[in-house]
Amino acid sequence: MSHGPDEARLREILSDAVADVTPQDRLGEIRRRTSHASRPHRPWVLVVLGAGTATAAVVATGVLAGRVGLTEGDRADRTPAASPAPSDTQAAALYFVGATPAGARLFREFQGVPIAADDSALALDALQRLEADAGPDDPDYRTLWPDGAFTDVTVGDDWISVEVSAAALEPAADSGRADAVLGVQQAVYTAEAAAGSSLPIAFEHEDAPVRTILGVEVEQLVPRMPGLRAPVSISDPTEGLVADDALVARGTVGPVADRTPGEVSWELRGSDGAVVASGTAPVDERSWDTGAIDLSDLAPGRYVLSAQVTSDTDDLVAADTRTITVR
Amino acid sequence: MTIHAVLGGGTLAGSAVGAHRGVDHGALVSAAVNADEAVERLYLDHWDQLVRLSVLLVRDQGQAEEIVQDSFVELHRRWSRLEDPDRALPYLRQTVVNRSRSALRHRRVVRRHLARQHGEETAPGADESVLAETRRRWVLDALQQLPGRQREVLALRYFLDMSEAEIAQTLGVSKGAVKSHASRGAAALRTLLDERDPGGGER
Repeated sequence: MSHGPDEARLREILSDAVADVTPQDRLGEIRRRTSHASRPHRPWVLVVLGAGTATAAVVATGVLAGRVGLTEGDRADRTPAASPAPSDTQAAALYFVGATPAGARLFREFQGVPIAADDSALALDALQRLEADAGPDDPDYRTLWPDGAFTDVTVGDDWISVEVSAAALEPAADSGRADAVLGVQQAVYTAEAAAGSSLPIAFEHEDAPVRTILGVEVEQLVPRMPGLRAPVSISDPTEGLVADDALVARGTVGPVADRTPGEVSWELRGSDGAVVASGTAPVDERSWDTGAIDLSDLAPGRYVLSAQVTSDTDDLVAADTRTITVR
Repeated sequence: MTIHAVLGGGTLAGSAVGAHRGVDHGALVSAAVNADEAVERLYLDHWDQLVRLSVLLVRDQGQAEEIVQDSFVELHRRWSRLEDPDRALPYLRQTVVNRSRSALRHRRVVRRHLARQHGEETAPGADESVLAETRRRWVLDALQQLPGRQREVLALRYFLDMSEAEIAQTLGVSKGAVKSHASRGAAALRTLLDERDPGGGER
């Protein structure tokens, strides 16, 4: 070992380590446990996405649509198309911290995750994507959670237990109390979305309740704190999407000075900063949708889509952006 | 953008997802008419290998068998919701990895409790003969000391011989992250084994 295991050596080491493992036969037990669970066979439904890329107008598969746990306030929103969206993934709604003129707020980003065995597994996967070594796809967002912060999740009837590591108890570097509160709510919003219900979070460490997370005191059951959503957020397209000839952008809005904005202004800019398309999208129950944006006349390259809401006095309130590639 | 919906029938031409090397398990599973038959075929082909994978992750064989058994039951339960029978084996592997990860946490709690009761395990002396059993224990012990993701990537990469892309899909991380975990995991494993075996015990 002194020269370090190369790949062949690693294969040898790992295979050898379990070479003497002779599993007991458990087929009988498996049959017993599944004998009453057989369901009538249903025809397979296979959705093949063409050419390995997807426009934002891709219709989400049943799996995607059925598994995105949206909390009550999100139900009006539509499941975005993952980019690309293989049939073995589901979309998870993740919440990251981003800047707005009104201060830091939570922005939602959808990421494709492997289909999880249950809500608890989905919630754990979603929360682990909040950790610094995973993090947001959108470079404008950030996360407060350190590597290895989340170790287990159990979605119960009355609350969601989230087991965290010791690192998650400490304040994040260069962040104050307000940031820490947002960080805690990142986890609350994300876990609730994965569980598909508005349940408070019980943070635990080594199977005991913790009262300090990210350096800030928390209640034993931490509820969702309203009003932290960014005034405007793009759900679709996802960051870095490759589009062909059409794009549909969708998203949500949060309250602006206690009022829900009536419309969202959007524009698409080329790499030279020139606006190549723009318009407004009406807001319907906190959701907005641009309809199909024609990209067929655009030169291939990178473009930035921005969506913004303005206050009554026409001061810019907030914007969210996505970079896409037209090919 | 083209969407083809193929309804009914067992023909699954065009499914690029879930391809894997070696025996065409997907075709075997596709031919299975129902969940019972599919689970049985997967059991015959993969039970031993999946239990060994789980042993690499959780260390304990009894627990590994429980985890894999539960994973088969879970697959059976979700069979009608799988979009593509070719996904069955990747789904099983993913479930085994996820359940192993979850089981580890509970075992760590127990281990901490036992360690407090009985004191830390005494490390074997440097002059202890490197019997196969001891060496295997060292490797499993060392794996347990790695961060979870590194352990999972090493096991999937070097035990199951999965590609970086397949691992990325199984763990839901980027290929870059897989590469990074594999590299850091291999280095950490080397260090841990060197500490155990400072003489450079090439076998």
